[in-house]
Amino acid sequence: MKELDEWEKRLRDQVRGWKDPLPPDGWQRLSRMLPESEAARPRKVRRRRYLLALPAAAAAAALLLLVLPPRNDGEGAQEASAPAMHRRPAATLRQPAAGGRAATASARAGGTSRLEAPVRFAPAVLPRPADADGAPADTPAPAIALMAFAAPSAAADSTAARDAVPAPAPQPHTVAARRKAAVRKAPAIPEPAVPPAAPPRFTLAVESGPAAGLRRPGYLSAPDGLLAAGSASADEQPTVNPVVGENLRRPTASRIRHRLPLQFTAGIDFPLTGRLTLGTGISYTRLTTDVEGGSTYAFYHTRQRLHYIGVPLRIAFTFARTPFAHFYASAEARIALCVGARQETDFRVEDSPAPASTTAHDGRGLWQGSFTVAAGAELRLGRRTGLFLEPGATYALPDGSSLPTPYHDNPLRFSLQAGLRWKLR
Amino acid sequence: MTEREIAEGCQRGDNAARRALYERYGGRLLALCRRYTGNREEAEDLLHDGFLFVFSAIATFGYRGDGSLSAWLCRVFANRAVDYLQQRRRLAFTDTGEVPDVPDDPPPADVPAEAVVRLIGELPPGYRTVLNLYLIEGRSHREIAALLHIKESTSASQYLRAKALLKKRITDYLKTHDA
Repeated sequence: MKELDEWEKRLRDQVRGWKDPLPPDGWQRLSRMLPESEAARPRKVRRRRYLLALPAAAAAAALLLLVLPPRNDGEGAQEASAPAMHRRPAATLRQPAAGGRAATASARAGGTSRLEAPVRFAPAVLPRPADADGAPADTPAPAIALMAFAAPSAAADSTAARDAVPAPAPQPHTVAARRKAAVRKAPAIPEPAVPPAAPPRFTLAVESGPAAGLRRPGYLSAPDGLLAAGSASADEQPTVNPVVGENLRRPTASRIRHRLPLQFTAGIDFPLTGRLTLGTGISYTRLTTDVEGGSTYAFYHTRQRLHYIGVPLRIAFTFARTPFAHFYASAEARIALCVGARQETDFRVEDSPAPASTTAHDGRGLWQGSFTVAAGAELRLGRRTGLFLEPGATYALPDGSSLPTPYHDNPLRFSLQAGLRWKLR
Repeated sequence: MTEREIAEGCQRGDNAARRALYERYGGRLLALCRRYTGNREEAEDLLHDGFLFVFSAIATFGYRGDGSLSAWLCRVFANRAVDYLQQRRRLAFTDTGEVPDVPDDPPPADVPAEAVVRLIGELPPGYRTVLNLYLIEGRSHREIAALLHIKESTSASQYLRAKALLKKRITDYLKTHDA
C-alpha cells in the first residue's frame, strides 16, 4: 500500500464521504430504461416432445393390453394360462381327472376357453428329470404341459369336442426320444405372472443423460461466490471481480458446459401384483459444470461440482413378457439433497504474473425434486438376475437457486438408466 | 435494507432493491462522476449510464462483506468515467506549466467538501483523472499506467502536479472566502 501524507489522507476522507444531491427525476428516468433481469423472467422451458414419445408409447401399449380382450392364441393366451400349469405341474398330473373335469365344467359354464384349454389335455406320463434347482425328478412331466401350451386350443372352441378328452399325440418310444421331442415341440416358456407374494428384488443402477451447454455474449447470471473476486488487486480490494474490471471496454462472452451427469441408485422393488412393482432406495448424483466468461485478455474459469443424495419412489408396470425378457413402463418421483458443493474459480488476466483464485460452496443444502417416466426392458441373465435398460424423460423441478446445472438449463431432458436386479430369495 | 439484501435483490431483478441501491449510493457516485468529468451535466449522464451498466452486470458481483458493494460500485464507475473521457479524447497527459509552489499545506478541513470536489473537477482532465485514481480510488501508479496507457513515471508526475495545483487552488479559495 502506498504511503500518503496527512494532508492527502484528510483530503481523501473528506472527498470520499461527500454526496452530491441526486437529480429529482433521476430514478424515474433510470427505471424506465431498466431491462427486466434474467432472473426475474420466467424460465423458458424447451419443449422436446420427442423425448416423451418413447415412454408415452410404452404407456399406451400397456393400457392397450389392459383394455383390449385377449386373443385365443398367441403369447397373451399362453401367459394367462401359464400360472396354473407351471406353478403346479405335478398337481395337475397327480389329479388329472379332476383338473380335466374342472376345466370342462368351466368351459361349459361359459368361461373363457383359453384359460382352461391347457388343462383339458390328458395328463402326461413322461417323467420329469431332476433339475438344477434341486427339484426332485417326478414321474409327471412338465414337458407335456409345455406341449399342452403348444397345442392349439381349437378343440376347446369346438362344441363337439368340448367334453371329449383328446387323445394324446403319438409319443416316441424311448424316454430320451420323448424328452427330445418334447423340448423340440415346446414353445418358448412363458414367464409366469408374479404372484403377490413374490420376493422383492434388489436393484443397482447407473443413470446418465446428455451433457448440454450454452454460450452467449456478456456475463452470465451467477450465484454468490461463483464469480467472486480474486485477490489479484494489489490494493486489497477483494470485492471486485478483476475480470469484469479489465473487460469493461472489451467484448465478452460466456459459456457453460455441463459434464456428463452421473447417478447411482441402490434400490429394492416390491411386487404388488403380477404386473405392478413399487420400488424405493437411495441414490447418489454428481453434477459437474464448467463456466467460462470474459474476453481473451481477461477471463475466469469456474469448475462446479455438486453432490446429491436422494430417495426415489418408483412404480413400474410390466406390459409384456417373453422367456428371456420383460418390458415395462415406469414412473418415478425423486427428492435429493445437495450434500456437497464446490465452485473453484480461476481469474486470468493477460500480463498478470499469476492467476488469482477463489473457492465457494454455494448450493449445499438445496433440495432437488424430479419426475421421470421411462420404458424399460429387462433381460434375464439367470433365475435370479436381470439386466435392464431404461430410456426415459426426466423433469427437474426448480430448486430456487441460480446455480448453473443441467437441471436448470434443461429441466426436461433425456435420461438413460442401466443396471442389474436380483431376486432376494 | 442491508447491503447484502440490496445486492441479492438487484441480482434477482427486484426493483425495490434497485431503487434502494440508487438512492443509497447515487449521491456518492454522482460526486465521483463530477470529480472526473468536471461538470454536473456530464456527471448526471455518466451516473445514468453507469447504473444501467451496474444493473446489467450485478450478477458478476460477489458479496464479500459490508462495504464490498460500495467498493465495487466505485470501481465500476471510476472505470466508466475514465472510459468516457478517453472516448472523447479529453485526456492529455502533458506536463504544461510550472508546478506552483505552495509553502504550507492548506488545511482541507477548512474547505467544504463540496468545494473540494468542485476544485478537483476544475483541474485539467489529465491531472484530475490521475489524482482521482491515485488518491481517492487508491490505485497504484502501475495500475493507472496500464489503465490510461501511459508510463508509470507520467502517472507519478501528473499526480504531483495535480496535487500542487489543487493545494494552490485550495489556498486561493481560503484566501477568497476568509476575506
